Amino acid sequence: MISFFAEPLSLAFFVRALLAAMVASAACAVMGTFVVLRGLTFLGDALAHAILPGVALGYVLHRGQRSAVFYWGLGTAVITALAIGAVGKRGRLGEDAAIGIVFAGMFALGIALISTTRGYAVDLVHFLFGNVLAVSPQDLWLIFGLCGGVVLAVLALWKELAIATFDPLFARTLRLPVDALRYLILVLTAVTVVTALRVVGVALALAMLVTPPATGYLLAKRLAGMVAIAAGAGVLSGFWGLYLSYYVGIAPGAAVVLVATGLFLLALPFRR
Amino acid sequence: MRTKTCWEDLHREDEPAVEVRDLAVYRNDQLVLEGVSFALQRGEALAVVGPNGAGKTTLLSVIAGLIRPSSGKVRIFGHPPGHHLCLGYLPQRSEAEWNFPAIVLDVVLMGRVGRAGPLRRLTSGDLHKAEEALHRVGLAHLARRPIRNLSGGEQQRMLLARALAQEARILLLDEPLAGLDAPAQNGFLSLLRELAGQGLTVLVALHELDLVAQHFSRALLLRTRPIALGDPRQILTPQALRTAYGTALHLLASDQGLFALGETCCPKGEPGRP
Repeated sequence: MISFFAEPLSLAFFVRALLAAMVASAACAVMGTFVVLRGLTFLGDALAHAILPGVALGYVLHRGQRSAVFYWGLGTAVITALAIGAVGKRGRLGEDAAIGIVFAGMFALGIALISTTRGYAVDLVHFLFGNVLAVSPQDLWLIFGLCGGVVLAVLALWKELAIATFDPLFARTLRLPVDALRYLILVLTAVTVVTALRVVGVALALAMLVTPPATGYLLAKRLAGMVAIAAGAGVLSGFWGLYLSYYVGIAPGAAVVLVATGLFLLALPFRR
Repeated sequence: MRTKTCWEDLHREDEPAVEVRDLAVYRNDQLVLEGVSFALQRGEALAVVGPNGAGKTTLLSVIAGLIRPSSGKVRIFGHPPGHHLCLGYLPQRSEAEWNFPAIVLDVVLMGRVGRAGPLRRLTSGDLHKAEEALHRVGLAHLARRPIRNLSGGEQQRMLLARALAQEARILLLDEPLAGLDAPAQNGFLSLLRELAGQGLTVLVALHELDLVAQHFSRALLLRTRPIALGDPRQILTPQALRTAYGTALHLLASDQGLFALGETCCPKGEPGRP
């Protein structure tokens, strides 16, 4: 039993992957709670896809430098989040369609950029499905820093975020900066999505943002409970996903998402 | 630094709680409100009635400080609108996200956040205020119930408790009775009267003409312009109602007076919102 857990831990890259998956999943779950409650699920998906060209450009420009790619992704994520926020504020007509057009277009641009490199099929797979096993020590610290920052920001603005999410008009009468909070949520979500890209990739980032919070929503009756359960489900998904990947020999990103989905299904009969 | 955004230290108690003079509002170059004037003293209650699109929601939004008037004057205890924590605004119920994971007490505590200021934690004093507010609206026994399991009437009482926890002295309510059954409607209006009796100033936009006559001593009949202002039993005449509603209202005369058989319009309230 002990060797079951200990055996893969002798591999440094596995330990890094395990920590990255658990921390990124937890941060995604915390932000995902607000994404789900605000009905921004589609937006989260759009964000993940729209980041691809930024990552790809960084990848093409800084061949071989992985952390450079990370920063490019972060920059694109924040710009995209602000752009989507502006579209959502203005657009009454076909906001969904506008987001769809932009994110599909950005996604295509990303794939086009990656396809200019040699051996792009392998790289593309990494971007689409993550390559958490290749997380370097610097990457890991970066993930810790970003995720820690996101969680701290949420805790600091907890009351304000809760009110602006539950009842935006009431928040306005209290003179809370509702628009600023909205942009903050988008930007923080973008940051967590960038970390999720390392773990599960573009195609599955949405799952990290939505599935654990959905599990929390089923089981909790208060916001704090929902966030706590979501974060717990995220950590468990990261943990068991990596072990599942190790012993069954499946892609780690897919394994993480499968565990998250399994936890959601387990929670279904216990919904409150 | 003064972090409290409420003017209450500076309140001039000799001024009316709410004063509106020659108010006019244009939205997208269209006239929504014109020539509205009235004053409400402490403890007074006013029902604003009129057809859909009459400008009831706009009027409340202007007083709440959410919309700027195009011309005219609005004063809350002698001060311009906005930044008043002592003003509790209950918009039409659809504004809130009712599937939000929270219990009743959580929502009522939100009323304390404006007073606590940013980044500050709520204290046991805040909790006490919230519990007291729940008690005043008769919801103390539901404090720990998830809000998604509340009835329409309970939801409204909870939002009222939130305004009380905010220590509001003026209550603005927009169509608070929509979707409530008759006993709940009567119970809610009785509660409002009770609160007015305790010194709160109450301004309610309503659709239910029959209840206005029963529960209010002052009403404003509105259709972009004020048509009548005064005791509802005197001002809600067939002629005034016809001016306000046109053919949208069915009237029935009987020995006991006049019955409005209801509007031929939407149950969900005014379509045009800010």
